[in-house]
Amino acid sequence: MNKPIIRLEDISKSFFGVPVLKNVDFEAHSGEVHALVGGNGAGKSTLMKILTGVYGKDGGRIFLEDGEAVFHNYKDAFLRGIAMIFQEMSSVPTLTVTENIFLNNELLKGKCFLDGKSMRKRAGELLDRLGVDISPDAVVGDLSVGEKQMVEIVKALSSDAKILVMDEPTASLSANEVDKLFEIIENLKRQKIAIIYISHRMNEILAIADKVTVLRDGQVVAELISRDLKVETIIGHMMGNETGTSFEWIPPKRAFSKEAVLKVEGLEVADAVRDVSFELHRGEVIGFAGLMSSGRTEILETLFGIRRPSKGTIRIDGQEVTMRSAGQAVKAGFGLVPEDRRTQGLVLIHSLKKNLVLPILKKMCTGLFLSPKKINETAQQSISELSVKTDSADKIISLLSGGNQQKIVISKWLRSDMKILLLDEPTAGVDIGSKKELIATVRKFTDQGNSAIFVSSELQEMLAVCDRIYVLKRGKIINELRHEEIESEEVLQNEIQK
Amino acid sequence: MKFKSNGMTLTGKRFDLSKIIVYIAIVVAFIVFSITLGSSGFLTVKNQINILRQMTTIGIMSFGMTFVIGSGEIDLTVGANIATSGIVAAIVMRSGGNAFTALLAALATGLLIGAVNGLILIYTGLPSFLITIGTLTILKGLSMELANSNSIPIYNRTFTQIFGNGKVFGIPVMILWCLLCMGIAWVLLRKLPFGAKVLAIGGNSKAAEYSGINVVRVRLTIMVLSGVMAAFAGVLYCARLQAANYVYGDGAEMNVIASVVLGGTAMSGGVASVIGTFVGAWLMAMIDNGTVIAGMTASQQMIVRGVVVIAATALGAISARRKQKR
Repeated sequence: MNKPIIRLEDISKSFFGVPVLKNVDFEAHSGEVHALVGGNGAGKSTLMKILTGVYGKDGGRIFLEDGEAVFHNYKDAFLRGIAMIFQEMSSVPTLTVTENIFLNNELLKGKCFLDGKSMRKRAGELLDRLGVDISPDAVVGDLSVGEKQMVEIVKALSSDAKILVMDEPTASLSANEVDKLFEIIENLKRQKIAIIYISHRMNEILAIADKVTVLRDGQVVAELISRDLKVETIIGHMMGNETGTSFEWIPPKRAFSKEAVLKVEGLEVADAVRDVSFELHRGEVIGFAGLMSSGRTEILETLFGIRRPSKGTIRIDGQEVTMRSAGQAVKAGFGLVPEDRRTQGLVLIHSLKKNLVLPILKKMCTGLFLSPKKINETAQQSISELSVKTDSADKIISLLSGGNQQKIVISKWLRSDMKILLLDEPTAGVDIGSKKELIATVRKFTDQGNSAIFVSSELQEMLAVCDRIYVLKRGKIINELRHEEIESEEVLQNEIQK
Repeated sequence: MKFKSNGMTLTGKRFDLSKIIVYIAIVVAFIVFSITLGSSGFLTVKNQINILRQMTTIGIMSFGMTFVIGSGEIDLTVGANIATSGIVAAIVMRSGGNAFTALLAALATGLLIGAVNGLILIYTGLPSFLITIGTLTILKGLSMELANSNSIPIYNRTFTQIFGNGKVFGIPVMILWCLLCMGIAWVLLRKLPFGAKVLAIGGNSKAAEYSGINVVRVRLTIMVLSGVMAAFAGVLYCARLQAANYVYGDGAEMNVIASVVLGGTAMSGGVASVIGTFVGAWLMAMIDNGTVIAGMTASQQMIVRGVVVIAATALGAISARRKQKR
């Protein structure tokens, strides 16, 4: 076999004393697509950040074709031909395709003036070479997500990248755009570019990858050739046999109500959600399982009045409701723990207690005036009830750990008169101890006669708390499973990949 | 990955220079002027009361502006608002209206100006900076039109005494009105849910919205509040001068913004202080007064005022940045 273009040897990395990567070996070859798979927290992103110089490594070595390489930052790696195609697009939306491609790498005339003509010509050539049908003069902000990604790829190639790292490149692409991307990847392979492909979508990996490396708990557990490989085999390797880290099922303490608290029929939201119907009973936790952009977040945001449905009815206790704003949704009894805690859930520059009382300012008043006594009591109750680790209720919330911040976001709603709690990735960026506590809190809440909808990429968590799980794919419900019907995480993982 | 840093900046409950710089600055200014100008009359009770009286109109406008800036917006119409609402009050009295109707008419004018600003803000989502540049220009034209580019004298003695030149126990009424407005603003900001909502919107409007706060309504209320406060300042202004004129309040918005920011309200929103704003306006008036006594020309005064604003806010900003790095 020919020599790898890049080889990582014995890579180790820890964060705050917790090992994330343990003696990982990984290599990529020119003209091949090498897929990297693993559950959340398996270490994929960390490994790629070390490869692209974003993180330093604690141990191990990186070899390029011409010997050992040391990267101090992204630029070091970039100059050696390694480029990352970012999940969030890093292009400037107001500039044209040409301007973006040559950003900070402009071609000059007489060492001083921009050579617009040559840049435009060269951009056109690069786009043609990839078989991308985008005008070099188009403004990037007007392009679709897929087209923006193509521009990113061209930008990487313009600086002679030999190794492209793609992290979930298809997450926000339509089916057509995925096909187009795969054509381009085939094209890149012919041009002897090495591609490292990270994805949760097993079918795509089987379609495009030549090799598959499976990471679990920071270790390489399998290196597979993708020919004749089956989805079940990869998932089997990803899960392993161990159940040590799994969360225990917390059964509900009371029977669910016969009548549905929430009944949604034929819900449609722009391109994101198609003909979704479901119901939720008092005392019940339901979950929406699916890959990124399967419509999970959109369903919750629609219930919370942030998105407008184009079709469908929402009934609460049999009464049809229309939510035009989050305020109305709160009045109707909804509470939302949003997907992005830092930008949507919290006012980071404010104290813990100010954040906590935001949805319940009215309840914090004596007469017209806010009562500092009531606010402090409420804060103390929440802190002790959810065992939030903080010196005081006046501490600025951004100084708390992720898990403790999230407890406050949930606590915001537990103190209101909310009946239906919507949770969108509530455990992202939260340590394992706090995760267990958060899950227990949800069950405790529903045991008091309330209901919850739980969305998470971490299937173990869903299995631990959901009484029923709806499986979503591209905005549609493709299956509904009761807790008893799901034997293991593997079963659910296979459902999602269908 | 899961092991993100917790954003460990050391801005917790620690000493923050930007919030208290204005109190230090006013003490420093007072001491400097006392030493250099003590013999020229700076230290007399009469002069000190004079300083407080001079700050009242800017102060009242600044209380409204504290909410506007605290919510992350800006209102540049406050200066033009003074002229327009003052002219409306003067016209009402010229046509035989009494002092009370004149006050109501002026406040209604301010309310309307604030409502227009607010409605454009919530319906178009344009930056408030741009919107209020537009409405500011319209108001200037409108007040010239209303007054035929003339000064309108006010002969109603009740009006000029109650809002301008009267005294209660030796204290000019303007100071009392200003303190009353400060009290109202302080209660609104610190004691009512409204203030908490304003600061939440300024700190992170998304999080405020996701907490079920009616962001649109609060924004509209803030702009109306600023309009009404500025109109009341306009009433005091024309009562004091016993006339209304379209040039009154010209450029006042800059002094207002400077007072608010000096007082520790964050230009980006989320942090605000009514008392700080009061002291900020007081400081500006003290500097004006001291420089006049020192015999500086109007042009020299302007230069000093500009230097003080930059120096004080820069000190606060630099200390905040240092702390983040540490």
